[in-house]
Amino acid sequence: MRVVPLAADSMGTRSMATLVETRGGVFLIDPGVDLGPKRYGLPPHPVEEERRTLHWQRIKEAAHKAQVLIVTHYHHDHFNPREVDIFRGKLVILKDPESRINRNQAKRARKLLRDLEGIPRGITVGDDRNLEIEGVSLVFSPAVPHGASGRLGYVIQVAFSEGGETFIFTSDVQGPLLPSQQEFILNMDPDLLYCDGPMTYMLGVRYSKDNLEVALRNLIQILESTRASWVILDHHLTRDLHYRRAIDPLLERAQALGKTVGNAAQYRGEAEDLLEAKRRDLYKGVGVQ
Amino acid sequence: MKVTRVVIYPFDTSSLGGQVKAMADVELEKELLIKGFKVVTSRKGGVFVSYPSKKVQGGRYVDVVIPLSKELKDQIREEILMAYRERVE
Repeated sequence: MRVVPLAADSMGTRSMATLVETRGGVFLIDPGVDLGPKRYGLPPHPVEEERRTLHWQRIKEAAHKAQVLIVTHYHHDHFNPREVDIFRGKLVILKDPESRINRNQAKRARKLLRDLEGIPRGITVGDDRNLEIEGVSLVFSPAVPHGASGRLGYVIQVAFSEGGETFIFTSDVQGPLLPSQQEFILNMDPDLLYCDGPMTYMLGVRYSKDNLEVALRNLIQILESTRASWVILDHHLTRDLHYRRAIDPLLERAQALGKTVGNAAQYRGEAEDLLEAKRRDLYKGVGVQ
Repeated sequence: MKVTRVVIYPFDTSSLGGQVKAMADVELEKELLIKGFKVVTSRKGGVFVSYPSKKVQGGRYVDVVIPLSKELKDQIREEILMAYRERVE
């Protein structure tokens, strides 16, 4: 199994788009990319816009290659409502558009389903289901809250297993914070985990110190109790230039256990480029090439 | 207990070497909705209904919905296959 993060906050855009290549087929999770509409009171910088274009191109190419596209929830950094043609001829697995969903996401889900009519080869719901395809098993979690509560809606997590190896993609859990989010990870015992990390850029505003403490405790438990030798932490976490300071106890524990905690850019073997977090500097002309 | 509605989601995985042809939800007595049935191809080329299941330790799958009477089991199977044929074939 080969896991390729295609776009991520650590690469300069809001996204968790990931390609999973298995012997049984190619899967694309969350084919969307977006930019933070306002940061430090500033709109996206042209450098960020350019990066978004590049990442969307990369996602489209991956979609062409994939047979199955998965949408874990209906936020626009996880699917692109303006270019539904990438779903043409594909099998599509969606977050249940009717249950465990907030009003805003339900509205977007209904629109996506209308727009998809006649485009994919098949559509089904992922929540709490499993699927075996040619030696690859896909297990979806029940819908879990987007972060600490269902205010922003719900997401589904997905585990891919092939030949005794398991990869988990958590989607937007912002931690994980809740037992329901963590249980799926512990039960599926991944070798590789791609997790949406703590939202430290909103610490004390929309993400409490208690939230951070719980997330770190949960992540340390995951490191200690699962086979995961690599944990990719990204998305909400890498909107903060100084995120390493906030997750220092986790990084220390990983080092002691001989495991790696890094972001999606690092997993790809690239240098991180937290453009949204650097937006103020971009407008000052610092770091613009 | 009667099946009052079946929703079929065509999801043919055969091009990937899979056996799943469709997913299905079943409503009983307009009171209970059970999601996660599958229409699966058999080795002999026919189709059968697979019940909602969970993966447990050791990688085994166990059914999480079990009809306790033969009548209900037969009815669920027939209704799903009929809806599947109407929708897909």
